[in-house]
Amino acid sequence: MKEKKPEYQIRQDFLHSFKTSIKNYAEYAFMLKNSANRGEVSSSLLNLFKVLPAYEKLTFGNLFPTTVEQLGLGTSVFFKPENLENELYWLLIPIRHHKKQMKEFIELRDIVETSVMLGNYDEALDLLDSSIKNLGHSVWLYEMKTLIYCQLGKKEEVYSMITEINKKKKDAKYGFVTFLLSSLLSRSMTDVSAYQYDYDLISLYKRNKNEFHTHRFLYFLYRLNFYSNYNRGNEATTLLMENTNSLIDRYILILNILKSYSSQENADTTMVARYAKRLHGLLNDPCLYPFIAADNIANVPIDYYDKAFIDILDAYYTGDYEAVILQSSEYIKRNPCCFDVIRFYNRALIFLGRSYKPITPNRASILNRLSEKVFFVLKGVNNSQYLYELYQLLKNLSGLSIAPGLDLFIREENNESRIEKIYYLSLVRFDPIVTNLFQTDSSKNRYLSYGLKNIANSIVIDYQKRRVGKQTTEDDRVVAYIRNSDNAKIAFETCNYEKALEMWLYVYATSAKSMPTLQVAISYIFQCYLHLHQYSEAVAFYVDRYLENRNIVNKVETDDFAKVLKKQRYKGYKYSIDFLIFVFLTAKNGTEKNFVLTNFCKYKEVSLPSELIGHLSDEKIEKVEMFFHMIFQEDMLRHHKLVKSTLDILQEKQRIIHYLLTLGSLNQRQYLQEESELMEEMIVYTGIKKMDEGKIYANDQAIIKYELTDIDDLYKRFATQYDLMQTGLAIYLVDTSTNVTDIESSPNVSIYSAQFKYTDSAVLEVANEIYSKISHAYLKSKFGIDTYLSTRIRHGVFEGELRPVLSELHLILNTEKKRYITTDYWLRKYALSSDTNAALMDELKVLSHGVDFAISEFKSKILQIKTVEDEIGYFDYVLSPEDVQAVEITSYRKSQDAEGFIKETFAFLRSKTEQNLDNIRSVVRTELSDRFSSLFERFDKYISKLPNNHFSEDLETTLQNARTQIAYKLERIEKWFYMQDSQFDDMTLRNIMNIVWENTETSFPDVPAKCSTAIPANIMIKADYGIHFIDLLRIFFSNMLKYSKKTLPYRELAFQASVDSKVLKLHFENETDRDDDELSQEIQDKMSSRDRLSGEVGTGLVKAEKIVKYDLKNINNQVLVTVKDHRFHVDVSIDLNSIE
Amino acid sequence: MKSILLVEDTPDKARDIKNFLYSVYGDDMSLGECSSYKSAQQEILDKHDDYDLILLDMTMSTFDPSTEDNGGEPEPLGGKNLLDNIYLWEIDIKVIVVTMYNDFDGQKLMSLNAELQEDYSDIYCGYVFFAFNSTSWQQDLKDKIDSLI
Repeated sequence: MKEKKPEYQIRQDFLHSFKTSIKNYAEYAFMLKNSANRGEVSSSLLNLFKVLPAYEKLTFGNLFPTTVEQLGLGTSVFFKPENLENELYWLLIPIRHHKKQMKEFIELRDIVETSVMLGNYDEALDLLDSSIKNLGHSVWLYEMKTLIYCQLGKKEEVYSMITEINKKKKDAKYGFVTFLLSSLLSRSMTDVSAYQYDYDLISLYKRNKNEFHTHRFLYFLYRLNFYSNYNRGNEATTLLMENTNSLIDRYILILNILKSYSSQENADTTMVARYAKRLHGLLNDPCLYPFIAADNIANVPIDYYDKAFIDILDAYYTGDYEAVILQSSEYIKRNPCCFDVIRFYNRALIFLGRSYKPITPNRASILNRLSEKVFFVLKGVNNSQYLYELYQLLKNLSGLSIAPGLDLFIREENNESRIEKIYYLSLVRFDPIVTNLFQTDSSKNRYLSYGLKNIANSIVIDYQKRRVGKQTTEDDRVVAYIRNSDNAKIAFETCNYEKALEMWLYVYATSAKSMPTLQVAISYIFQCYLHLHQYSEAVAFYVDRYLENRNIVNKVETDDFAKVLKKQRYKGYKYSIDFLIFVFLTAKNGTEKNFVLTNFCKYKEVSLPSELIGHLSDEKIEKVEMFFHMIFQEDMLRHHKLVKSTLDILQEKQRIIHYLLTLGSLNQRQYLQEESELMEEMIVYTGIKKMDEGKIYANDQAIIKYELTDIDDLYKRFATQYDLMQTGLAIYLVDTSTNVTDIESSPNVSIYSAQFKYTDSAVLEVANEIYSKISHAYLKSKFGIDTYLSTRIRHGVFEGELRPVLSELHLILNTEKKRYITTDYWLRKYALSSDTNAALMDELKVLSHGVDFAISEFKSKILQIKTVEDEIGYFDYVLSPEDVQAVEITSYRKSQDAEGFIKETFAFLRSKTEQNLDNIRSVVRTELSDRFSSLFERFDKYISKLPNNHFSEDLETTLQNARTQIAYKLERIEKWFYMQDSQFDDMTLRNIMNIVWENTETSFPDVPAKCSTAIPANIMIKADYGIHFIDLLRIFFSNMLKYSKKTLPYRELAFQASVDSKVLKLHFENETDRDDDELSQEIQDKMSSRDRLSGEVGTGLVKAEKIVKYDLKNINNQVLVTVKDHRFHVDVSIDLNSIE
Repeated sequence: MKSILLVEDTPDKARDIKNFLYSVYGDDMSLGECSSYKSAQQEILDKHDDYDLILLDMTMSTFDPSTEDNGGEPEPLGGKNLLDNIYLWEIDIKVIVVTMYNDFDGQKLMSLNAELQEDYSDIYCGYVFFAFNSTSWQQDLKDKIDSLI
């Protein structure tokens, strides 16, 4: 629609379009939206809507829905947007019409955000409820209420609210509201893992079928998880989809869209600025300032210049940290979403050497909880944990204006990729950092000049002007570390690396209190060394700093240097312990780490890494400790040439951990734990059932250890939901385990008629989520069934078992370019006529095709894992959501903790696998076998028609041979389909004792000892309890070796076992040089102190008691300790009935 | 005389490859064999001078079944680890990957091929796609071997 129409004509055509159909009208509206005469369209429609408001509703949907039922019922017809600009300007029409309400919303938004941050939740809830009268219902309103309820821990209230909305909207034909609210509920919940939320959202709609599905997927990602997805998606389509919601929701999305769009290369920032200016003219929203400022600072209103904020910056720059704290506390009460001030406040505390002090009186407020975590991150204490907690908070607070600052902070601290522009375009007040938005020095200077003009005498603005001009400064009004850092940056940027190095080293030496400054200084120092080709110095500096505090090197960019090192095959560098540690820390593969380690061993003239123990006495002991611990922990021993089995790896690790334990370092507790885990691993390895013919396997322990480490949050959520269900609260939720119903779609227009499915079981969703996570790990992870199925059967092994038999017998043809090629074997052997040979080849082609098809079909249709209904495969784990819920409730009831829950779910999956394997064996026995039989029969019929001669006789014999061999092979294949046991086999107590004694004894190489034993050979321990007996014996043997009296030539220990009336009695005995009464009293004290269980030292007896009573499932089991005549006796009694 | 090391843990695939190689080169070839990452690593590091070329499978077990029940954990990219060893230890030998899969731990063959070409340009000489029911791989393998040794 290129020609310009007069206003009356537009109105007339518009009204006419209504008389035909909704689709025709929508099409006309679409034409107007994209017409050239935007001004006329806007004013004609505005005039029309003033007179006939019903038409506005038909055009723009429910702008301020008066009931929740109306929310989301905007429009069902979507025309593919032509461009973002037209979509933005189209929405300007209703915004212009309802600017009064929109201004009211902006005021409300700011007050609500402030109240939420400061913890004034009741005030915020009251405001939100009373706003419905003028502003109606919006997704934003419920998002805020959900956030508040979740922060208050009011789960019943939040579920009741969502349930009520879902019930009211269960028959809604259009809109995304219930799904949006369901996801926003997950996002707001403090016990939903942030990473899980990211993952779930991506997983939910990733199987897109058509373009509309893709757009809907991207809309959900963008709308519900902006800070993880702001660089993906199509802004115009996303905005179009939001048009089903209230005008408030659309406006909020517009602000995000302006940020993400402006951050793209080639964005039309002039269009954005023009639009922002128009919007600002209507609404006076400060959130629009940055877009205007980015284009032309002269156009920004005066209230952009916030003197109080610049005063804080000035105080910070001049080192007046008391003033920073005081002014920040005041400022933040009015602007609690100003992340920068939170950062300055905490930095000031750190500079003054103070501990954390709440920034406002309400310590439990979001503001203070967030601020405290920022404090510890800046201080460099337990960074990863606090950064994780901040990420969780970011997810909860994504709908508040603190989010952009928090997002950038987390990304910077984690050294992750980031788009700073998103943050700069969120800054609603003048800030020198915004100069980063500008490309040229003159634009930067212009921005700063306007700042100086409006906030006179600011030190920081003046200082930044000099910095833009790359002028080093000695202005001593600015605190030295900032001045020195900036001067050093200038030296670096101007390639004066020697000077830069000197200056950064000075900054590093004088900035002990400021972790962020130290991190930046270290990063620059490392780069300076590299630029100066002082590689050893770079490496040593990095490793020394890492040793001091591993968080301190977080911001050092090492990837490029690590690549160069590998490319040069680590040649030309001194193989110092620093160099090795550096490679261990930065190389990507175990092969590389092993390479430098092996070279180092050669240099030190030893073979195995453990033999380096004692060869590094000249090095700092802390470095030696770290060096060996990295060898212990990292994946490199597997690649060492002299390590030839898993046992070799475990033994090498054992030697290393024993050495580490002799150091008595601060990490002793961790090493004890690792030693204990290693010993268990060795015992499991030694005691594991030998491989049978079964090829189906899942490595349960590795799955728990590596694949399900973050299950705790989900488990807690399941527990909460389950407990909530027990209260009888009737809950009605969107069932996210099923997809929305479909849409009618053509190239340019989509009619959406989605109805979400609902469930009245609160626990159903989380049960399905946790089951999905556990079953995915069990079935499809690196250690799961599919990996073994793939490498042990599907990948050539199955085919290789069958086809070669026929190939050897010359009964199967090979293919070339997908066509079977004939063989001359039979022709040559029997001098066949060309006709006879051709007929034989035809028959062999049929046989070959039949065999190949049977093999390929078995692999593709039977040997596949099926977790959803539309997949194929006999490893069938499809369950209805209700069945999943039942499984997980059972798992929950039968277990005590997350690990127990996982094991119970594994047990279910295992039983399901057994059923599947039974079916597969049956297929091999019947269908597959029959298939081969019918193929052979067909061939046999062909033979029977041949004249009786040597050829036909030989062919017949060969066929019989094939029948026999294939039958034998199929029998073998059938045996593959059994679970290979990943647990212990049942073992004799004597065997367990021998393994444990052998392993424990090697842990005490300096304690010569002999243990006399009397254990009947027939005491069997069930596989399920093997590990508990191992733990029990290990505790007693370790204690006996540690505390028994030193006697020559060795310590004499005793262990006896007997069974009396189904009670297993264990007796441990050793000599002691302690006083009987004193030791008895000490033991009594230990046994009565239950909280010792969480400690490490001196807790063996308490742990042993826990094992015999709880793990061995009888509270009447006992551990009895007596000390008599300088002999220490432990008598354990275990009821065998409980563990059979 | 061509001297080739075959690293392959699927016995029948190994047999088919060997049969083909003997049928083509007969006595003009000596062939060594390994069936796991560790045994191949040992052979390559110790006896690489004995070989002109390695025919390398990509997915294999860590240890030989004779050393360890089950072969230890599967190594979806064991072949890549061996290439890494050859590169780092500066072993002057050519490698052809012989695979029958298109997917390696989530990475597609074409993408893996491009990565190997970039990382090991002096060693890696492309791949041959093996299939039990086809002989197309034979000519491809022969052409590659003949062009190298």
